[in-house]
Amino acid sequence: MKILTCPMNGPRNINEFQCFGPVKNDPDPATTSDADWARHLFRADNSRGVITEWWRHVPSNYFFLAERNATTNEVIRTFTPQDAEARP
Amino acid sequence: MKTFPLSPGGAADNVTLIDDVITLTDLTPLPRFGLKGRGSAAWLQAQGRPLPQINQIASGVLRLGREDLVVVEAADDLRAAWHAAPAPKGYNAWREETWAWMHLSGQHLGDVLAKICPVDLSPAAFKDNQIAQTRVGYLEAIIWRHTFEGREGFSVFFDIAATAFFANAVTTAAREFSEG
Amino acid sequence: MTRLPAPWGSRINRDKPVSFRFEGTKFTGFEGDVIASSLAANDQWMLSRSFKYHRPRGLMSMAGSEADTLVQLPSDPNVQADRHQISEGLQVTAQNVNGSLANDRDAFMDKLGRFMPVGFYYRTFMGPTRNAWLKFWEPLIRKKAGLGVLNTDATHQDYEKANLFCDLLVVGGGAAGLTAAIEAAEAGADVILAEMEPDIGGALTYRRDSSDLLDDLRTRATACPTLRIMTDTLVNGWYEDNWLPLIRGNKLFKTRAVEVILATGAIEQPATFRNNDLPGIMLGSAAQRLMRHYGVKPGNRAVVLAANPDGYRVALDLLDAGVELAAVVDPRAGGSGGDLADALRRKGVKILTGDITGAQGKKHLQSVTVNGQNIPCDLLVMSVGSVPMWQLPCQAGAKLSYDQDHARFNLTLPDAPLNIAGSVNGLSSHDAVTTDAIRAAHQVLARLDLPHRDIAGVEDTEAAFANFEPTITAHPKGKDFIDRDEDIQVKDLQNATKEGYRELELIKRFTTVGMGPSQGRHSALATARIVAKATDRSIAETGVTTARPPFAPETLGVLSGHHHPAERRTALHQEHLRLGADMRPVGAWWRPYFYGNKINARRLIDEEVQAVRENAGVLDVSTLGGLEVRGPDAGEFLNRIYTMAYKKQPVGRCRYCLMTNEMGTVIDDGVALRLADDLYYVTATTGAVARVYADMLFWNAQWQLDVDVLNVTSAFSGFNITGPNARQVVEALNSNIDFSREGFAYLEGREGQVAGVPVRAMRIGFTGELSYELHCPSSHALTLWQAIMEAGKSVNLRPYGLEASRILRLEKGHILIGQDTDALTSPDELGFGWAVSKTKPFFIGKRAIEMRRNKGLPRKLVGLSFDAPRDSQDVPQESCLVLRDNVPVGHVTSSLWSPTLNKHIALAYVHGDDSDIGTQVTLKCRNGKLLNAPVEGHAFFDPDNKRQEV
Repeated sequence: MKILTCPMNGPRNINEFQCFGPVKNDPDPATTSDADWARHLFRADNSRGVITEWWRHVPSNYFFLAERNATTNEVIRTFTPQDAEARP
Repeated sequence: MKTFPLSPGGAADNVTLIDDVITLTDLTPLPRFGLKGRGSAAWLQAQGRPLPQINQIASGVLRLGREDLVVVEAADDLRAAWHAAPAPKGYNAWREETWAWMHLSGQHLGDVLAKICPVDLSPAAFKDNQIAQTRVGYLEAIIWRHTFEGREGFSVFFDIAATAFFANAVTTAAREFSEG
Repeated sequence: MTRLPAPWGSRINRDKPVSFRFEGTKFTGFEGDVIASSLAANDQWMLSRSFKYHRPRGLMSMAGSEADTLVQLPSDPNVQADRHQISEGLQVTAQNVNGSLANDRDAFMDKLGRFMPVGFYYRTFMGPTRNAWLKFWEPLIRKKAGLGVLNTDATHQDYEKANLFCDLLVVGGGAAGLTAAIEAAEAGADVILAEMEPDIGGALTYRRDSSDLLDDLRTRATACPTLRIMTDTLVNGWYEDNWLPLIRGNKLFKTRAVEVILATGAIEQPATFRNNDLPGIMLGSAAQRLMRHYGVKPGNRAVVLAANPDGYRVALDLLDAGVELAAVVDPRAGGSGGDLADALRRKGVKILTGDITGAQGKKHLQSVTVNGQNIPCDLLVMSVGSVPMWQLPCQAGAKLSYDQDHARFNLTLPDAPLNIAGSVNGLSSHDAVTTDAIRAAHQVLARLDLPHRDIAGVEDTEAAFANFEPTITAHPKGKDFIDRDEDIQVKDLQNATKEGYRELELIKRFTTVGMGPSQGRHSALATARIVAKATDRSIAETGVTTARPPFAPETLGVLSGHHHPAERRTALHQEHLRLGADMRPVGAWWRPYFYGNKINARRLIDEEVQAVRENAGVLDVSTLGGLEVRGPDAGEFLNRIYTMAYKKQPVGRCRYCLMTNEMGTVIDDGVALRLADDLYYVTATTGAVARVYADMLFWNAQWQLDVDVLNVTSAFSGFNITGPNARQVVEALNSNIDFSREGFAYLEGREGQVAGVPVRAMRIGFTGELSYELHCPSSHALTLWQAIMEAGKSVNLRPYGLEASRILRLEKGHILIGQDTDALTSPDELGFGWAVSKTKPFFIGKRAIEMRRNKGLPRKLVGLSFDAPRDSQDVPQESCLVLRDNVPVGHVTSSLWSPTLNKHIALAYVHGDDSDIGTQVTLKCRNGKLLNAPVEGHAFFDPDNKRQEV
């Protein structure tokens, strides 16, 4: 079983976590066309390489972000939403 | 009058807590007071209480998050002070109502915990007064290495509605050590 | 029964005879014997019949992998006879036998081999009718081909699971594993050594000239306080981040290791020639295991096929054990046994250069053909090479390559924290193996930050001779088995390539090579050689098929462990039982279904409904999800989460909450009571609250509003007092809350005290009657309940259960999220447009609801009722279809008998164009009968809300 390192609780078995999917750039619902909004809802990029995802540590209900290589499943880093801007 | 799950007439009053290869002690009726939400940490500190790092404990204050604290020493005094205090003071986390509190100790403590908790709780890896928010007995729980009334062991906080379930899960896990 | 004298037979206790039965005949062995060894000691070599041709088969590896040694125990099928220890009175029977093992009625299958080429099944069993395979052929073949029989009456056993942690896990307790484990433990690492055999030592326990090294390692191991040795322990897979399942008996140890050293050893390979599957033909290591572990002489007159030094060592062992050596056959051109051969010659042993092309015998080996000449013998021992135990390394990402010079597979590992050492790393001599283990251990110690030194790589003087690449040609008469489990011969693989199969994964699936219990342990190398040659490729290019966990068979019990269905109890659990409730699980919660004796269920439920409609009832609603949303932004937060508006909701008022997801689908509902400017108490449905809570936290992780959400589901209990006389009950309570009609209006909420208990009171309900819902901290629930029951005495207040509640809600037309909604239901389809704010700039799902509204209404939830007798089958039940022009357009979501209205009532989705009241729709009952009914509103009872708002 994979280990994921929670920024608050440290390294834990990944079955203590729940993935909430890749971070999306939500378009403005007031100005986006129907087609683009439908695309936003139903089309997942499903891209290769490094993606940033939301994760929840279930026992502590702590939400954080993880950069994960979707091809190799390697987790590059995990960080708090507050640190999201401070990317290296 | 308060009724807890293992009190007479409580939800789990037909459940016997194991007391042989491992001892399960119900501490649910003990006072505790939780604060959560913005202002909690500052208010508690202003009361002269220590503010430990997250997932650590200091003088009876468990810190579970930036603004998520549980006080297990002189909790009733603190609750009274909190109710009387003006905002900002955080919000009531209802920890005396949401959680059961049980203590595990005994000869096969390590063996049984290895079966019901995925975190390495060996003395080398998990020191006295360390806290982990994880799963214990198939439940989301907080586990704390805690000596209670001279008995070395662990305190566990978990969903109070699952009291009977937890007690039964511990008993089942301990069974292989009491037979033979 | 004769055994070799000690020190032969290290595992048996000659003072403790053990009797058991095989195929009904009594046999006696010793404590420590396995089934196969004690049978061999009694000259019973045949253990089973082969899978396809029912040929006699016996032991070949003594290592527990091939199907030939699988036997049946009374409650366990497919037990490995060469690994399972005998016990007094054990009943063992042979598998895959029609009649008896000695006289198998299906033995004629052997003669039909040429009619059953690979792919035979796929081609032959297609007809004559469409379902012939399922109805006729498959059951027939399954019976013929079946292995063991499952005993469904087996006694209950406990299966346990535990977590284990260590700095270093060493897999395999042979020379390499022991050395590595000791080196690391001596430097202070916390080490676990897992060995699948009952004793440590691996090949040292049976290999010639190994006892000094083994004694030394055993002594050192005992002196290591941080070394935990687990014998009889199978490491059955490698998973990400060094997570490995260790299985010992009925217990699974989920082991997390910082570092892993795989010292899994090598698998000795059989040779390929006609009738190479006869009992009496075995691997060199098998003969050594029989002698050294069990003191069993593997035969009386032997031929040894030796293509490496180990073969010559086995020959010397056989001489020592008193076995007559007819010849040693070395197939290597110009092959030389060196000093070992000289030692044999000095003892008068004939060493021939050549190859074995066939074996003869009926139920046991009688002779082998060498260079065209038959040599009589009852034992043929094969030492022609080995493959590294590649399964765990390959699961961990190792690459298998082929070393043409040394005719062997090599493993290359990816990066640490994983290492291989010893013969799995291609080494053979004791010196090379132990040096390699020390190197691996010190690499691990360096990464663990423990004292270490640099160890240079090792050269193995023996490795070059270890393997031999034979020229494999199909014998004209066949029966030259590559995979004994599946009865696959050389020509089967060659034919598969002629059919056009090139890729090994496809050849495996077409021929079933490697699909039996041994999973290619003894066939992968030969298969690769044959396929490479037949397809003009190198063996490296051909490779082996993907190795996946589990490494060896595991029982379902081990995977399952204890079964712990979640169980949550409300604070009143014992009180409900005391009142005679029939408690049933609803998700994790146990709830009263009704109160009273099961025999009277229908009457009691009707009475409970009647009590609510005509008098007063009380329902334990503690399982309802409870959330506190608090903070300066609480109103804004709820505005974004739910479809209605909450910022201007007055303190002391309740408001309906409807939650949609981004697709505009309804996913939950509840009620929000505003307790203060910055505090809302929100309910959610029992089954959804955990998800709703997580979703709320997720959204706010993105929005970062100044709000805190707390799940108080277990912290608060709740009771709904409902019925025309409900007010009399609450007014009789000792309380500082004004429950009067004037003082407490519909949809209002109050905080106060009842019987000294802090209470949150709301005028909300699910029954359509006058209702008060009292919530309190759960530790006070029993006190509050008792006060309510006391206050209700004057009107005969009746507790009611979940089934009455479902009927009451359906009579009133209230929907249940998840029952009356599905993954597509929009608020418009429920007729809940009133609950969707048109003025709020944003809420989750707003945009999608608008877009869906523009597309028209595909279906709508409506009420339907049927005037059939109560037990009539001509009534559409839940999930029955709604038809339009004979095409399904919707379905019934709820359907119940209403004791109040004396008719069947239902909610159903109908076509959007048929949703006007009075429109006739067609439904199909479970019995196929079609039925017409007019569309009605949701509320069958009191549609004008005259009762709940009084």
